[in-house]
Order: sequence, then C-alpha cells, then structure tokens
Amino acid sequence: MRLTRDAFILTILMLLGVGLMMVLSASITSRPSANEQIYLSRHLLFLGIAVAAGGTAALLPAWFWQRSAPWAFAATIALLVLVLVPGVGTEVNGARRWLRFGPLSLQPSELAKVTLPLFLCWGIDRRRDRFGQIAVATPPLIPIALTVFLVLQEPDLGTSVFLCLISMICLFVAGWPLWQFMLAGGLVVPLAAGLVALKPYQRDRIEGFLAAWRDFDQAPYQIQQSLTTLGVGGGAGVGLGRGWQKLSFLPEANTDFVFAVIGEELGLIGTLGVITLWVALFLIGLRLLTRLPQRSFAYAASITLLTQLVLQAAVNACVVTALLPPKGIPHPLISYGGSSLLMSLVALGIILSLSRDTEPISDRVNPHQSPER
Amino acid sequence: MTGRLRLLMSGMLLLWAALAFRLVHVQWRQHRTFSEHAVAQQALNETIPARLGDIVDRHGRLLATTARTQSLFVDPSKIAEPEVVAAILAEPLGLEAAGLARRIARNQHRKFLWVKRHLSEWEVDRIYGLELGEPVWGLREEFRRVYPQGSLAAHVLGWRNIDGVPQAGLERTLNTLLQGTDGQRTLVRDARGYVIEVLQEVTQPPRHGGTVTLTLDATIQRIAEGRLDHLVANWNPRSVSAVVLDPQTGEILAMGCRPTFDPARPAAGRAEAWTNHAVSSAYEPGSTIKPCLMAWAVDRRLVSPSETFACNGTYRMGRRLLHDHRAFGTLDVAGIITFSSNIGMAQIGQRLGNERLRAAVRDFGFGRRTGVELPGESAGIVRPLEAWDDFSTGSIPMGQEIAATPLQMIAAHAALANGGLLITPHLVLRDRGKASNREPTGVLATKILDPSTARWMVTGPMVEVVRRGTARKAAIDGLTVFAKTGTAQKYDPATGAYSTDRYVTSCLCGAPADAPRLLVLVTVDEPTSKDAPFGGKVAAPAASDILRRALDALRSPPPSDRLFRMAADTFQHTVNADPSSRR
Repeated sequence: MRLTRDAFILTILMLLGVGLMMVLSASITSRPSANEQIYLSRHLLFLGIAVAAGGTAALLPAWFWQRSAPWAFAATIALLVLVLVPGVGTEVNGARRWLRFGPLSLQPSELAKVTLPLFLCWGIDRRRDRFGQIAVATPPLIPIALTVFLVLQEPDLGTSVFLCLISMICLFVAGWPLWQFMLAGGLVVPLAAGLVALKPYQRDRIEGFLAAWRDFDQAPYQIQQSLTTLGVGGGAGVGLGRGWQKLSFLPEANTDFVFAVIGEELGLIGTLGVITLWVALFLIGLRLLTRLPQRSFAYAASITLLTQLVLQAAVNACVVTALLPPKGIPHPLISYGGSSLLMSLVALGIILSLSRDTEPISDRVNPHQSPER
Repeated sequence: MTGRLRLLMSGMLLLWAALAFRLVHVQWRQHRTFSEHAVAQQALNETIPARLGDIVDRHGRLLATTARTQSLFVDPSKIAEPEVVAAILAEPLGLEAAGLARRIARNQHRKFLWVKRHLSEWEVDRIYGLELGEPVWGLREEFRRVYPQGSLAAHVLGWRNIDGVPQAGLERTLNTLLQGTDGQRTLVRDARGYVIEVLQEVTQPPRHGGTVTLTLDATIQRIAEGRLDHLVANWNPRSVSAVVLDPQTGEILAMGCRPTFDPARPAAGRAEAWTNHAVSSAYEPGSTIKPCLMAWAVDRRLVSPSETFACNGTYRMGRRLLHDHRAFGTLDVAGIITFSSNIGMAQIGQRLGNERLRAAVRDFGFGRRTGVELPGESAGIVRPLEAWDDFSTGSIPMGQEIAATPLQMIAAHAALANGGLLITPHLVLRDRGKASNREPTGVLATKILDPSTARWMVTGPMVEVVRRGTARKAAIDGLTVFAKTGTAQKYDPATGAYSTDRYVTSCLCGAPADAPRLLVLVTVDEPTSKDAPFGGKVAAPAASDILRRALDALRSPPPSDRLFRMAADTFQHTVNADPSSRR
C-alpha cells in the first residue's frame, strides 16, 4: 500500500520534472530576451505554490472534501456567474473566461473540473440507496446542466464537452443506474448537435480540423505546425533545446502544444515515454483507489478526479496529433501556466487525501465520531 | 475491481494506445515528409545579385559602372498613421510629405513600398537617425548604374531603368556579358521572417558581370560631340550625328547624336532624344554615294578613268530634264566626282543599267544592316529591282530613291579607304587577335573592289574634291584629306515632290589619303539657313575639324595605352624571337 502510494507520487514528480524541462526548452525564442528566464522562474514559482496547495490538500482529512463539496460547488457557480458579468470577467478573443485579480488570474471553469465531480459524488452518496427511483436518480443532472450552461455562455465549447464527459464518468463510477445513462444520452445527443450548429467560429474550427485529414495544406495553421513539429522529431528527436519549430512556427509552444515540442526534441522516445508515465499514473492510481469501499464518496470522487486528469492529458495529446479538433486545453503537469498546474496538483492532493483513509465510509462521513476512536 | 471500472480502464488504455499508434505514424512513418515541410518553411533562399560589369573605352576609361546604394522601403500594412510616418520621412529625403502619405495610404494592403531609391550616404545617415518603429521600414542594398562621363556616348551606351533592366544601346545588346549570374545563399528564418542563421556551406557565390572594352575613344568621342553641340548652336537642325571610324579595322572610335540625353536620368528629356540617328535613321544619301558607285563602275571596267562626259548644265533623259547648278563643260570621271555633277553621274547610271546599278548599291552594303552591336539598327531602303524604272537610272547615281543610315554610308566609304574590303563596323574591341566568345557579333570583311581601284578613287577624285571641289572647307594644313559632301533635298510626302528648303547635308572625310587612318561622317538633318545650306558649307568644316583633332588624339594616346601597347609589342617580339614557337 505504502509502495503504491510512493510510486504514485514518484510518477507525479517525474511528470512535473518533464514539465520543468520542457517549459525551459520550449520558452526559448528565436530572438533571445529576458522573457525566457522569466518563464522558467515563473513556472518554478507556480510549481512552488501548486505543490504547497497540493500538499495541503493531501494532508487535509478525507471528510473535509466531502463536507466542503457543496460549498465549493456553490462558490464555483458564483464565480461562473461572475465571470459573465461585463467588466468583471476579462474578455480575450471574444470569450469571457478569465477572472483577474491584479497579477493573479483564474478560470472558474478549471475550478469546476474539480468541484463538479466532488459535488456529484456528495449528492449521490446521500441518496445511494434510493437510486432505483427516477425522482432520486435525476437530480444529479441539474448541477451538470447548470455548470455546462454557464460555461457555454463564456463561450467555451471544449470545456463544456469535457465537463459533460467527466460528469458521466463520475456518475458511471459512482454506480448510477445504466438506464439513466440511456435517458441522459437521449437528451445530450440532440443538445450536442444543436451546439455544433450554434456558433460559426466553432463550426469553422471543426471543419478545418476535418480538412486536415483530407488535405494537409488546407488544415489550420496550428495543426500543420503541430504535426510538422512532431514529425521532425522522428525516432530519437533533434535533441533537447535544439528544436527549430518551437522558435516561432509552432504557436503556444510552451503551453497547449508543449507535447509537440517534446516530440521534436526527444522524438518518439520522448512522446511514448510521457504516454507511459500517464498510463502508469492511471494504473497505479487505480490500484491505490480500488482498495477504497466501492460505495463511498472517496471511491467515486478520487477515481473521477484521476480519470479527469489523465483524460485531460490524453485529450491534449489528441489535439496535438490532430485526432481531436483544436481546443485550448493544456497538458496537465507539463504545460506552462499557473491555473492548470494548481488545479492539477490540488486534484492529485485530494486523491491522496481521499486514498489515505481506507476506513469504512460510516466512520469518515461523521466527523464527530473520529475523536472517540 | 468492478465491471464498470474495468470498462473505464479499458476505454482509457484504448485511447492511449490509439495515441501511441498515431504518434508512431506521424513521427516514424511520416518523419521524412514533415522534415521536408519544416525545412521548406524555415529555409529562405536569398539571391545575391551579381554586379553589372563595367563598360570602358579602348583605353580603359570608365563609361558605365555600377555603384552600391541603399534604398528605403516601408511596410504600409504596418503603418497605422501614414501622415505621421510620411512627415518624419519626407524632410530628410527631400520628398513631399502629403504625396508620400497618399502613396502609403493607397498601398496599405501591401507589405512593401519603395519610399526612395538610391539614397545618398547623407540621406542614409539621416534615416538611421530617425525614430521610426522598427518593423515599419528597411533599407535594401541595390546596385545603381553610373555613367561617369555624363551624357558622353549616351546613344551608344543606352540606359537601364531603375531596376537595372536594359532599355537601349549596348546596355541592351551586351547585357548577357554585363549582367553575370546571381548567387544564392540559404538563410534560416523564423515564422516572423527574422533571419536566424546564414548557412554558409550552401552559398552559391555570384558571378559578377564582365567588363566590356569598346572601340570608342573617349577623347575622340568628346571631340565629336563637342562639334555636334557647335553645329546645333549654329544651324539649329532637327538632328545631327557624327561617326568616326577606323577604315582599316571597322572599329568605331566615336558615334554621337544630337539631341541627346543623360543615361542616368533618361526620362528627364524628350523620348525623341533617345534615337541613335547614326544607326536608326535612314536618309537619302545624295552626292555622298557618288564615289562608291563610280568606283564600282571603274572596277568592273564599265567606265574608264580617262573617259570624258559632256556636262553642260542640262541633260535630257527621256521625259526628264536634269540640271547641274552650273555648266561644267566636258568632265572626266574625276571631274564628275570633284564637282559632284548629277549629269555626269546620270550618264554613268545609263552606262550601268538598273540591274548593275542595284548590284553596286548592294555590294556596298546598302539595304542591309551593318551588324553593329546596337539595337534598333535600320537596314535603310533599297527597293526591289522590279520597282526601279528608267527614272531610277538617273536618280540612284545621285543618291536618290535609296535611303541609308550614316553608319552604312561610312562603312561603304571605309571599303574605298581600306583598299576594297567592306568590314562590319563594330563597337566592342576585339581581343587583340585572340578568339573570344565574348564577342557578340562577328566582324566580316568582304572584298568588293580591287585595291587599285579603291586607292585611285581615294587618292584621286576624292582628294580633288577637297582641293578644288565641293569640300574645300574640309582641307587641313599638312594633311592630304579626301572627302565627299552631300546635300539631299528631303522628300516631302505632303506634296509628293522634293522639298526646296529642307535638306540633309553630310560630309564624309578621311586622312591621310595614301594610308587612311580615320574616316569622319557628319550628317545634319534640316539645318536652317537663309541660303541653301550645302554639305560643303555646313558639314564639311565640322567633319574636318573632328578629323584633324581626332588624328592629333591618336598621335598622343593616353599613357596607359602606350604602356599597354609597348608591353604587347614586347610580348610579341619575345614570341617571335623564340624559335620553338614557330612551326
């Protein structure tokens, strides 16, 4: 048990190490400036804050997360509303996704990736015994719908889809009845179809993505550059820090497309290595978490958070390899950027916190019983 | 592990497996394709322009050369406020701010616009001193054609436009020799176009253009052109041209025209000034052609030098009555030439008949381009034999009904002066006997007369022309000058007859008669004067003045040339003295 935990933490540290290395390398530009050092020092600063926050989250008792889940969710909804208020939310390229407080900035939708699953698990845990009744099984869909609706208003289609996916995985892991999935599917599919037809720029993006498969020259610039960057790397890569593509051809080289830089500089060995680390993190995590009681808040919440994180990495890699349409999703633990790093490490901290106590759920949900033990 | 968790795990592993396959495909199997794409977008092939070669005169004096200059451009698409940028740039460059602002505004969709080309060093310094946004402007190094002698030999040299594209003259015909081959180097750039690295190993150095040495002698050219200016000032003609030729070799030592232009700024004057009248304008030659046809008739033994002809002022030829300006009485062949008797020449024409007359005209190269290395050469006009009638029999021998360029005329006379060889007149100096592929056209020598006939015509009748004939003004003290003048009435298309007040007068002269070194032809188109401006009066003094001073110049060549000749001679002697070099 202890070994599994250590292996889990070691895998996290290795991924953070790759991230540190690649942020330094990918921030090099064709015209050297002081900014390159700034990226590294800021990444180190973020890393320090994120590790502290993740450590704190890991040290907090498991019941804290269950107790605070509704409040955290309520706060997230409040922030999601706030970000839509003109003048409060910062508008970037026509989308209102950011809240800025001086030098700090926060994406409430990033927060929702953690608080929504926690809240769903909290709700399910309270009603687990009565899942058979339609009146009991349906309410979890309400917070999902509310969150997704708010995120769509920003607008942020990618995150909305991702939140839907995570919510479904959460409900699936938590033991939600299968017939409910069919019902939900019946609702979601026409909704998704409607969404695609909604915004012209979103449709363009998806069409451009499809074009990349037919005719490379027609593909959007970032997909062309991303694939080119990967392809240049070949088997062994051009060597760390020696990539040309990142120097300016590849956009977002140190954030959303850092995986492509790994491909150019470290080659197939590097990209498959990162994949191996993520698969290892997932499998070790599952091994750690399947010891938890299956019908508990901790079980469903931690597995959902783990899946969410690994899935995010997979989606990012899919975008970089043109398997999914471009979507502003960073590679967790590796991309440069404070918000993502903080939320990823907090999620991992929560997983560690929830996995620490393998006592039966009845002992943990009631804090008043703990001192008596 | 529950069934649901297994499903989740399998789904996740499947996703990562798909990714791994995709990565193998992109990074392993398509590695080459994407590498090529990356190189294509990073590498930038830049042309290193070859420098245009120089044009020098026969003594190595620069007539056309190339200088490096800087030119200023802006990127209008990056200029938000054209007025502001224009106001900053206009003053140091001496441009008008409002006009520049309009040009920038009009081209705002473009990424490149010349502001001013070929800046002076002073202007470049001032541009560097300006505070402009960095990506807005740039200087590009360019070559600029420079003509150090100003407008000297402008019609021969021609000119180039601002992009170096040849438009006229030798610049155009010799362009392949002058332009060289551009080099290339490969640069690595980033997506914004900044150059990161120059790849030295793939650099292809430029092959600069070669230097072309002309037969022109800048000193003689300057003498001739000075005299042309003098003629323009005195007679105010439509145009005037002068050619100085070495009859023994066909080398053109000077060729000039008025009106003229500045080859550095050809657009400053009128476009008519670009015409090189010495090769592009054909005139009825008038009497100047008479010695050629007479020599041909004597050479073919159709006329004997001792024969005499009655030239009594009027002569009836069928329905036509010919006039001389006075009655000469009985003239021998030399006399006909000396006094330029039309009646005498008409009788020669009758003796020859149209067919032989035309053969004589063709033998001297009329109606055919000479082959000089200049664009736009006229072939002149010699009509087909079918178009000739008995009127032609009288007209052709006095230089009517045909048209010739001044260069054709002087080349024909060169055949008399050099002992019977029609030599292609040319402007590019031959490589002192060595075969060279740099010579753009071949120089041909065709024997058309027996040397004795040619020598007789030059030393006999044509010397008499100067002694007591129409070209007395061409005489030079201490030299036996031979000459022939011509005064051709211009055909007036409006009346269908010869004009009585518009003439082309010309004078051809050469010296010394026993071994001619130079020929000079001056052609004056429509000199204005109260009385008839005969060739002997207008053109003869100018031609003989050019001849005298050109011969002086030949006797005292510039020092470098003398050294060169001495060195060449020494070399020649050494080779000849070495018995092993003889076969």
